[in-house]
Amino acid sequence: MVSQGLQDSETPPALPTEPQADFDVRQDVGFYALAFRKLRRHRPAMISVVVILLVGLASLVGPFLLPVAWDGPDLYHQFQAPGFPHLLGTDELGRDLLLRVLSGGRVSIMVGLLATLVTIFAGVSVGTIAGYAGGFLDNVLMRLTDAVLAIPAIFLLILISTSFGQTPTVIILAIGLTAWPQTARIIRSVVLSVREKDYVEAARAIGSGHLKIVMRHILPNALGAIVVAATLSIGTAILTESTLSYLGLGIGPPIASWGSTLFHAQQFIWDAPYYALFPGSMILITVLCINFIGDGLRDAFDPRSFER
Amino acid sequence: MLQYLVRRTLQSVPLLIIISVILFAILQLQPEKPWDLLLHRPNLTAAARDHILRYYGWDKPVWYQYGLWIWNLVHLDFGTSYFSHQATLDLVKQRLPNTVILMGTAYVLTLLIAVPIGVISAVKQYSKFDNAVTTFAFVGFSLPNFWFGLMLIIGLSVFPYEHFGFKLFPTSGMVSTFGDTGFPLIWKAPLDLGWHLVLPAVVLAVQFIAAYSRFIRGAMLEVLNQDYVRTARAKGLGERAVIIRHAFRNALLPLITLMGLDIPQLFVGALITEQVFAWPGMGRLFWEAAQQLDYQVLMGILILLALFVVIGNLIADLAYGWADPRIQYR
Repeated sequence: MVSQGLQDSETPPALPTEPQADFDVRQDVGFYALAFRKLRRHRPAMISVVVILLVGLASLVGPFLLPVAWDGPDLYHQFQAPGFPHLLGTDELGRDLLLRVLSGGRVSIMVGLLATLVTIFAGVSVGTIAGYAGGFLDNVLMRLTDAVLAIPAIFLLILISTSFGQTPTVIILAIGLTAWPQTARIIRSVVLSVREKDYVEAARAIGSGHLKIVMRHILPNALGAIVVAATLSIGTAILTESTLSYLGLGIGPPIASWGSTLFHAQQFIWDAPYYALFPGSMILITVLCINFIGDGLRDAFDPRSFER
Repeated sequence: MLQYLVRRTLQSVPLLIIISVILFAILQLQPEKPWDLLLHRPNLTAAARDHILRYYGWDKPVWYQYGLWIWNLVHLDFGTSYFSHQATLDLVKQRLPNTVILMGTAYVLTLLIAVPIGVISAVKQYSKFDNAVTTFAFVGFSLPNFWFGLMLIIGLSVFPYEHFGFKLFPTSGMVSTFGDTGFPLIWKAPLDLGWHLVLPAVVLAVQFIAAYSRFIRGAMLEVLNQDYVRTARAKGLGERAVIIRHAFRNALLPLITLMGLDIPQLFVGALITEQVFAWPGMGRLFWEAAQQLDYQVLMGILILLALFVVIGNLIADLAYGWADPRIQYR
């Protein structure tokens, strides 16, 4: 199933009816237009985009459509099994689980997106500086990268969360700042290969400054790698956040994410086995879709699949 | 070889120093000082307060505290719990065997399942089996494994218990008798331990099986295109001998590096699994210390983990050289 996108992209782009030359003209398609076309043919990725949009929309709009009172405690209706009117049942305080799952989605997805912003900003900065500057600076930054990689991320996150408190800002920054080394390594290797290209040398020859060379000539060529890294990093961040929240060390109450709902669900696993089912499935579905999209993007940006 | 070993060991010293600085900085930068908890006692006299501050060296400047910490670390003093007053090293010694049992079982399980899966899906590339493995790998990557553990508990313990009155697998602990832990269990109560190990080991292994089957598939595909595989086929060897004796053995080489690199990931997985199944291991020790804000234990475990990771990478590099005679250490 998954690798189908690769094989499908063999079909050449359709030629519009223009004056035909008597030799075979390959239509000149831009890099991003071609990548977009290839992505559109990657079926798992396209299905995932639709599912992700549905999940996002439901989390965004859903909580407005359900009665506000369902978010408050209702001790007469604790631990109701899924049914009507509570489609996914109720939790230990009688709150509607559908509403909890939908509003938890807002938090989880938001944390995933914002933490990715941090990861990408830090990772791309470090990777670009290390790759472009080389020498001593490269060495120092890469040792720093190694050091952060050598500490298991969740352990470091637990230390940060107990030290700085369980506020959204701390958690988002912490997840972002423990995940950047992987991105930095990828970006560095791309920058290293682009740095030696002729057009970079040409830009240097006409007197462009370092900042301009990096911004105009190097980073645009790393954009594909950055987009893929960012997409995959959203999924990782959502998983990390849910793990941290499951350990009771994510964003503190009253803000609930999918992970912290599961933290509570585990305590009532004998009273309400259905409780844990839906928040976890939402994490699985969301992260799975993000990974499929990331895979599709990787295939789409892979220049080796041009000739195929 | 010896020269290489010495050089690599020396190279890991700056790495460990950077790690210690990062950890120490996190501790020092926090808004409430780590020792505030100890001083938040209404009946604490000024003299006792001074004594506590002096005892832990908290009345000294920051650089002195850092130096003291490093000095203690070098002398294998990884701190003492604020609350139980046990040395971190002793606490870890109690818990590490349990984690090793869990991780070892999960790792053997991973290799037993992932290696054949990876090899078959590479040999039959793009077949139905290969596509199924790819899909499984994607699910494995995306699966929150603590939730997978909860689902297994619900499906195999809660559900059978509520409907038929028995549990297929226990949901917590290492053995049915209370309080027994450590390596002696392996020969004292092997069956009971194995029964308790099934669910945690599966949960810890599933994500590694996903990653390793993909990795071995990739490595096999690369090796199958090599000239020596073509030579083996050309001289008339059977397909089985070509794959197992010529291709597979070479495809296993990069796995050694992966094992070394995966040690941090293994500890993360163990932390989560131990939490789900109340497994009395090192991850749970860390989590308990975090609940109590027992910073000396937290820092001690983090430094120990970093040390394990560095040593693990070194061993993986040496093992690679042992397994692949083409590699020469200088």
